[in-house]
Amino acid sequence: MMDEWAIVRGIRKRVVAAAEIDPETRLKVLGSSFDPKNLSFWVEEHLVGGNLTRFSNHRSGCSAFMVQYYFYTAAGKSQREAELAAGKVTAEFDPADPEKSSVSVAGYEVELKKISVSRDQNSRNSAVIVLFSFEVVDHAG
Amino acid sequence: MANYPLTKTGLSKLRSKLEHRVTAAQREAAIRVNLYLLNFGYHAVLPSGPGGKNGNGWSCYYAANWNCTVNGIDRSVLAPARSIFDAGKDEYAGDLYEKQSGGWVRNLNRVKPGDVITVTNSVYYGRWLNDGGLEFLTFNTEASPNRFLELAEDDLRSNVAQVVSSAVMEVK
Repeated sequence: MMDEWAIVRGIRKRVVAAAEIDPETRLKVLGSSFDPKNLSFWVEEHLVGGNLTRFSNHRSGCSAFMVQYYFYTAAGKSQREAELAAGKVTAEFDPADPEKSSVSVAGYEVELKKISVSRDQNSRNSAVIVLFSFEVVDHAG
Repeated sequence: MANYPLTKTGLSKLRSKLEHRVTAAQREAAIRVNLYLLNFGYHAVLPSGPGGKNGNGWSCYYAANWNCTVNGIDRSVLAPARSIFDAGKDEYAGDLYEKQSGGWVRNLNRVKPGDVITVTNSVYYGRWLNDGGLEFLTFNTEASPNRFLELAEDDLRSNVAQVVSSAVMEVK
């Protein structure tokens, strides 16, 4: 079985370093007791996953393994910090550059295929949404 | 593939066959995408009510509104015949497929070469279900992104050979 969270942790390490955020106080991940109350800026991580394929050589993988990051700004606050962090993260990865497209995770080949950025806004906050789509091959099967 | 003489009639027959194969591939692709999305929806729906903890935000109301249209976008929104709170998801799934297959599969059989098939869902909160976000338009409080559109696209890309070969089998 593919360890999806091991892959996400590998991606998270790069994202946290690029965005220059403190994971203890600014990053919300699944299972954490993080509360964004009273914060003007925070980042939220979501694992979407992908369609698992089994290959004939007993390997398995996903052609589009997706992880999504929200860069949130509370309503009424400046969006500069969120925009800057999202910009740094998207600059850290580049599907066309072999050095910037691969993520090192033990046992998996993880290659970035696509980044898409969109924005969302409601009465409570605004968000820059960065969706990473990786190709993952699991050598162990 | 049969042999076609290099005459006007022969070439016309070849052209017609190829056009029908392309149309069949379009139809197969649309059915595959639609079924992927329906299937995704059934698995994401959890049997819970207002105040309960829901899954990823799908509802049968949303799942009921997937549709395939030919040469146009279906902007209508159906109210499902039965509420999620009255029936198990499997029971509902059967109903939905039956209801849908009566309509759009019949439409797809009438597709002509050059027609455009669109897979649609006109429920207004679709974008939020796909992209996620902290929105409280419904009683769901989970904000996880589903990304079913991207996943369906990836499923189609990964299985395009199967789609084409079944289209070729369909139009011998």
